[in-house]
Order: sequence, then C-alpha cells, then structure tokens
Amino acid sequence: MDTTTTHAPAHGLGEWPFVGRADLAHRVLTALASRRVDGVVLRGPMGVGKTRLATEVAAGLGGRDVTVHRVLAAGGGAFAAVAHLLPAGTDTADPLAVAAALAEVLGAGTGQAVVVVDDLPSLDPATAGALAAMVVGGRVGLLATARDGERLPDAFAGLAGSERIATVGVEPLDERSSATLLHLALGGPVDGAAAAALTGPAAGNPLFLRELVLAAVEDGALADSGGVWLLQGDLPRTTRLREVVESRLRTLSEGATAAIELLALCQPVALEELEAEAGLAAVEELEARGLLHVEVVGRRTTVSLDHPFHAEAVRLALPTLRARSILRRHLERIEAVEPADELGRRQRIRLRLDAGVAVEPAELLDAGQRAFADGDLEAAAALLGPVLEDDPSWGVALLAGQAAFELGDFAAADAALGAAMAQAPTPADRATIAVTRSQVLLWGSGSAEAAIALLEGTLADDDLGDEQRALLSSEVGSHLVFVGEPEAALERLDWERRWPQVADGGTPAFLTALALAGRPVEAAERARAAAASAPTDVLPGLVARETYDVSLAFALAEAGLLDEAHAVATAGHEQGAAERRTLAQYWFALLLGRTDLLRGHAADAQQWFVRARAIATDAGLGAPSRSALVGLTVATALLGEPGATAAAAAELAAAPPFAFIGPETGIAEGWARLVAGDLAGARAVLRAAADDAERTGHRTTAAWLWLDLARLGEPADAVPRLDALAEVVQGELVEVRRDHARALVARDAAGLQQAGDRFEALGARLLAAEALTGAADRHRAEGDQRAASAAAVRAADLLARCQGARTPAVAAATDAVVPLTDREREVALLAARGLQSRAIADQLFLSFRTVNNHLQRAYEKLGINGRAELAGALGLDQRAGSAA
Amino acid sequence: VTPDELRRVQRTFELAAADADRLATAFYDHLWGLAPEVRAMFPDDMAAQRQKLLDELAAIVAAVSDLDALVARTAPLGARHVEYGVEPDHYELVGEALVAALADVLGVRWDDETESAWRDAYDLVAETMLRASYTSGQG
Repeated sequence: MDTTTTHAPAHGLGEWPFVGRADLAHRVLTALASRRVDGVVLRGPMGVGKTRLATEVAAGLGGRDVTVHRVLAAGGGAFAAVAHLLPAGTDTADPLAVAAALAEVLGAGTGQAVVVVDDLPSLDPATAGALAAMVVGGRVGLLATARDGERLPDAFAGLAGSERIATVGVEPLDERSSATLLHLALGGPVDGAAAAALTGPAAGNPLFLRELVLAAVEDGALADSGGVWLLQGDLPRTTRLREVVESRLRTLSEGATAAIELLALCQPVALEELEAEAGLAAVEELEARGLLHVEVVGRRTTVSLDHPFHAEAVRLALPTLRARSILRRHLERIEAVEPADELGRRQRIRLRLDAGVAVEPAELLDAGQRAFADGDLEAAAALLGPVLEDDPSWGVALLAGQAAFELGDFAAADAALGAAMAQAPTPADRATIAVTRSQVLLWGSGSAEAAIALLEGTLADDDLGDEQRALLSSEVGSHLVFVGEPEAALERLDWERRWPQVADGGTPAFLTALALAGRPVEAAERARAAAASAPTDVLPGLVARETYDVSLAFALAEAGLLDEAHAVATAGHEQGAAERRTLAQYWFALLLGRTDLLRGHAADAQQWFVRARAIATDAGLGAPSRSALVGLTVATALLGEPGATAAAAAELAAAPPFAFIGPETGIAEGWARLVAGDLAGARAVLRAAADDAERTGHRTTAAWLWLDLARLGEPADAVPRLDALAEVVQGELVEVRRDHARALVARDAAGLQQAGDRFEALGARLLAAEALTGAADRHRAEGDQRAASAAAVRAADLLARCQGARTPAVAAATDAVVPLTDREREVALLAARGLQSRAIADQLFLSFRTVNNHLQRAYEKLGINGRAELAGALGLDQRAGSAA
Repeated sequence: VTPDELRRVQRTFELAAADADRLATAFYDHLWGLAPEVRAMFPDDMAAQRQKLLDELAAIVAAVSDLDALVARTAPLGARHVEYGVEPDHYELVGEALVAALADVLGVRWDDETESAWRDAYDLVAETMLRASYTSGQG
C-alpha cells in the first residue's frame, strides 16, 4: 500500500487553522469596532488560542479601517514594549515625553485605533500606565491576552473588572471543533481511532493538539493512507504537553538545535545573526516544522520561537556551561552596538553576567542602585549580588539584602544583612539593619524568638540613642504578635509614645494585634488613617504602604466586612505580584483565601491557598506556610475532597510550629477529622482550640471556632462563650455568629431566618445557606410549608454559589439540588430575565453554541423544560426585586 | 469527521433527497421558527430559493470527502453570505434547522449516529465557509 503525505505540508505545517472561534471573534471585533467596550482582555490557559484569537480579531479590525498597533510586551523595562512605535530621538528616560509621543503616534490615524498587547501581564509598568490612561480616556482601544492566573499590570488591574474593559474567557474547544480542527489541519478525513487518540489527550487545547499532531506526523505514527489519516504507530505515551514538546525537539538536526537554543536564550534574534550562527538550512528546517515566528519591524527582521512554551522547554533542558557559551557568542555579535537607554544598558550587563563575562564592580553597583530605585528588584538582586563578593561594604550589603528579602530569598538576605551589620559604622546604622534582619529571621526561619533575640542583643549596645531604642523596642513588640501573644504585643508596642507621627494609626503589627484581640473595627479605621497619613520613611524596616493593606484586609474580614476585605486584598495582591514582592503576595493570597472561605467561595479559597502554599514553598517560608495549609485543609474539606484534606492536614501536622494565630490550626484539624468521619474528635479539637484562643487573647478566632462547634451540632456549649465574646469583640460578624448559635439552641425558625439574612448581607453565603436550611427545617416542622419552601429555595440558591462547598448542616438540602456552575447560573439568570441567547452571548462574550449548552445543562439540573420555567426554578418570583 | 461519518452523510442525503421539496420546506420552517429575524434576508417567493438550497446541499455533500474540492465550493459561498448580512452565529441556527429538517424527512431512518455524523460534517462545512470570512478575509 502506498503512503503519501502530500496533504501535510500544504495544510498541516503552515498556519494552523482557526476553528471554533469565528463567532467569538466576531463578537469581540464588533464590540471593539462599535466602541461598546474600550477594551477586551482575552483570558485562558496556555495554548488555548488567545494569541491566535487576538490576531484574527486584529486582522478583522484592520479590514474595518481601524488602525491596529502592536505592543511587544516581553518583560522589559520602562517603555521597552513601545520603543518600536516611538519616533527616533524620543527620550525614554522621561515618562512624560514618552507618554506624549505615544499619544501622538497612536492618535495619528484619522479613524479609530486599537492597541494589541499579547501577554498583558508582562507589559512593563511604565507602558502599562501610559496605555491605561489612553484607554480610559477613550483615545485608543485595547485588545490584550493574559494567561489564566497571571496578574495584570497595576494600571489595568482595577480596570479589568469594569464594564468598559471586558474580560473574555477563552475556553478549550469542544470535541466537535477539535475534530474539525484536526480534519482541516491534516487536509482530509481522520480515522475515528486516530482522531480520538489525538483529541482526547489534547482536551480542547489547540497548542497541545498541534504538538501531538506534528510529533505524530514527524515520526510517521500518523500517516495519510489513500486519503484517510490513520494511526500506523504509537503516539507519544504522555498526557503532558512538555514531554511531547521535548520529544519533538530531540529529533531536530544539529544546526536547528543550535538555532533553537540561541532563540530560547536571547529571542528575539535578528535573522542575520540566526543565519550566521546556524545556517540557512537550519532556519528553514525550524520554519518548516512550525517552530518560528518571524517579525518585520521597519527594516529589521527578527525571529522568535512560535510559542513561549517552546522557549521554556529548551531553556530547562540546556546545561549551564553550554548556555554560557551561547550567550557569549551572542554578546560578541551585539556588543558593537551601544544600548539605546538605561534599560538596554541594564539588560546588556545582566547578559554579560549570565554569560560569565567580567563586569566592572563600579558599573554593576551603579546599575544595581538604579534598578533598586526603579523597583526592578530582580535586576537589583542579580546585579548587586556579584558586587557584594568583591566589596562587602555595608551600604551595598544593605541594598542587596533588602532586594533579596523582598524577592523572598531569605538565605541570601540574611547573609548580606549579617555582613552589613558587622561593618556598619554607627549604632544607628546597626539598629536600622537589625530591624530588617529580624524580619528576615522571622519570615525565613519562622522564628519570632530568634528575631526578638537579635533585637534584644542590639538593644544592649550602650551607644544607642533614644530614637534607635524606640525603634528596636517597638519591633520587638511587633514580633510578639507572632509569638502568639497579641495582648502582650499591644502593651510592648507602646506605639503612641514611640511613633507620634502616626498617632492616628499605629504600626501594621499593632493593628493586626488589635484586630486579633477583638477590636477589628478600630484596627480597620486606624489602618486607613495610617496608610493615608504615614510617611513611610519614619517607619521601621521595610514597611511599605501596602503592609497597612495587609492589616486593613485582615481587620475588615475579622469585622465581617468581607467584600471590602476581598477588594483590598485583591488590589494588594496585584501590586505585590507586579513588584514581585514575595511576602506581600503570600499574605494577600492568604487573606484572599481566608476571605473567600468566610464568603463560602470554597473553590476560589482553595486556589488562593494553593497559590499561597506554592509561594511559601518557593521562598522557603517554613513555619509561616502553616496558615496556607490551615486554609487548604478547611477549603478541601468543604469541597468534599477527603484525600486532599487528609494530605493537607498531614502536611500541616508536619510543618514547623508557628504561633501566629496558632489556634486557627484547630479549625483545620476539626474539619479534617469531620471529613474523616470522626465527628466526636472534630468537636473535641474545636472545643480545645476555642479555649486556647480565648486564653491567648485571639478573640475573633475564638468566635470562629465556637460557631464551628455549634455548626457541628453542639450549639449549647457555644452560646455562653459567644455571648461573652460578642460583648467585647467589635463588628457585626461576631453578633451574627452569636445569634446563629442561639437560634440553633432555641430551634427558632425566625431567628435562623434572620441569621441567614444577616450572613447573606455580610457576603457569608455558606453560613447563610446553613442558617436558611435550618430555618426551612423548623418552618416545615411547624407546618408552615410556604415559608419552608421559600427558605429552602433561597438556601439552595445561596449554596449554588458556594462553588461546591458542602457541610453537614446543608447536606439535606444538597440531595435535592444539583448546583449550577457560576457560568450556568449567570447565563440562566439572564435568560430568566427574558434575554435571548444571542443577546446573552453578546453580553458575556460567549459563542452562541456555548450559551445554548450552558442553558441546556441548567435546564437538566433544575429539572425543567425550558426558559419559561427558569424564573420559578431560580427562585426569582419568590424574591422579586432582590434577585437581579 | 471520520470516513464512516462521511459515508453515512452521503448515504442518508440520498434518501432525504428523494423527498427534496419536503426537505427544503422543512428546513426553512425550522430556520424561521428558530430565528424569525432572518426571514427578511430571503425573498417572499421561496420556490427558487428552495431549489438553490437543494442544489447547493447536493454539491457540498458530493464534495465533502475531498477537502480541496469542498473548500473550492464553500469558500466563495461563505464570502457571499457575508454580503447577505449573515453573522457567524447564524451558522449554528442553520445547523439546527438542517438537522431538524433531515430528522423530519428521514423519520425512523434517522438515529443518533446519523445525527452525530451530520453535526460533525456540518461543523466542517461551516468552518470552511467561515474560515477567515469575518476577519482577515483570506483562507
């Protein structure tokens, strides 16, 4: 039998077909062209086709006389992304000049203009700021892509939730579209077994499908036999994209391998350089295999790898010495041209360091200081590290230590700061460094005791002035919070005398202690005042303004102002991520998880805790990672994942001790036991932890624990303790917790109903659903069927928005109701309000087919036949007016 | 689309084409039921339009197993539909109408496998019509 592959080069290895997204592309295009929105951010997992969708939409915009500008976000420094758009001679060191020049360039056309930003999260902050201002001002439209889970630059973070900037989720292709893609890519029908073997593992991810197909065609496992594509060998036996890519790259010729390595390290690379290095044949080989992306800007032709994922895979597999020699040759070729600006200079120096080429210490120091001042901490640490080896003077060491600390490299930070302290010329300098180093000790080793010992040791110096003593002493007080003694910390901090400049506020540690001790409302007010008035330079150590937001978000959550807490933490996390501050990201991720737990957003909470744990693991945060594990245990327990709960609980039990909010560990242990079927054990743990929390002055934690005990069936024991706590603890949350427990004891339908209402008003949906489920039971027992079903419908409605969270108190309700997903619910609510599918698709930026699929599944889950019954099934008519 | 599915589509189309008038009438009835707003895109007198539909369907079904021939047929057709004011989401409605019309005409000879084959084949045809019609304007 003759095997021909005539179709493959024509259809398969050229541009990959664009399938399954024409409808969505058209909606995005129309919305931008008609200015219904100012911008669209395409969100989705890696390889799902965001960039391709953006390219298609951009091409369509061009066809409608919209001027399209491309911005090259690639993690560069200030304005690197738009350098190619600016007129020659623009001073890139002057942000105002650049913004003005940019406005001129983008506004130059006669009609509308849209800026396309592939990978918005890696856009440099300076360009992001200038661009966001133009988008908000309506001067230019935005079409951007962003990988799931990556944070947008600060300037866009706030906008992305607004009505004017739509976030469009790009979902995997459905099975039918995957099959069609395969058919079009291969240029003919594909045998059923072959199609299933390819589309199954790819799971709707076009990049994955493409890599699988190319790998299979290249090694002959997939071949055209008489016009039909058949499997004639084994496919790569893996479900991991990275392995498929690696196996494909292993089959490249020597020259092509050299070319791909150069690209992975240095892309984009000038075409001439690539040809000189690897030869024309190698470049053509890569192009024929669909691995290259060629870009012509002005007279320059540059080449990059087609997908960032290929570069990642190559870099990971490249031995260090080989990488160095490639970098060195690259440097030799580009050294003739002087970098145009500060940023280019910084990158050039880092390239030399990476290549192992000697750089003058003075040059490194200068570049490192400038990077630190720009907030480019990663560059600062990379540049200052080598300086420190030659010149361990205390100023350099302090700077390097601070950069390392902010980046979460605690071992490097401690070494640098230790060296700095040993050399600091005056006691005042030593005190300043000691404060920073004590924080490194606290977070790096989790040892508040060691941090305090360092400070006490420094305090023993007789030459210290009063101001330094105050600084050191107050820092000791801060650390006492982490020894698990909020009350003692409040006394030791004595902040009013020591920090008159922030008399309305207090230090962040003081505010956290205040909230824990039961005064979260006051703590939140003070955190706001402090953030607004405190000049950050008078505060000890590395207190940045955002540190107040940690205290603020924590205090707001403890007071029960959950949505507000969430908003503050979201903004803080975005900023921390943009500036790569490890601790800030850790704390805000933790606070987001905690707030989502209280709000009943169990799956979101789980994701935040997973993220917090990942940050903690990467940074080697030992003991402080406990808080993430506590949250993860509880979230997985609520989600009904016993295996994951047991794993998280075991990890928690093995983690080093950390006394900060120590009694919270009891919440995790309690839920883990419950999930394991040990109800009595769960109750015992919760009770002991609640006692412990009260004894150590963790009053808000105590209230949480007592209510959990009540939820697990022992409200009578909880009521007197919650009564007492509600007397001294501020905020509405403790009151509702008390009322809920009281109503459980009294079996009081009206009381449960009211607790449910108040929990819902605070945003605590899961607790609200529990209270209302209880209310429905009581109403039913009292024979009030009407009130019972109204409460039950509301409980189910709330529970449906808890992302799959289940607790014993709602178990009965669970059996009756299969919850809608968030998307199904969103679509169903719009349909219930009378919107047609096409209008819903327009509004939510979904394809028409997707809307109908969601609706169909919603009907099935709700057990109804169609739209007419939706409002009733969603409980909208019982609660007319409040639902929309 | 698998070779089996393509054969099934061609075989069942032959059966349905025996009752061509009914197929065309059922198709437009279903389409206007699903999307009343598209009625205005068609002439009042539908006799000629029904014949055009049947001719086009027959040609596409004949070409569906050869991608190059199919694209030669559908690409210009897709471009013309842009001029008629057809939007991408109309393709979904047309697919539903077609499947419903075939089910009406084929009666007991219509089953799940046949429906799945037609939906897969229609998706392929729709994509070749849509391919770049609405964005870059080239395939």
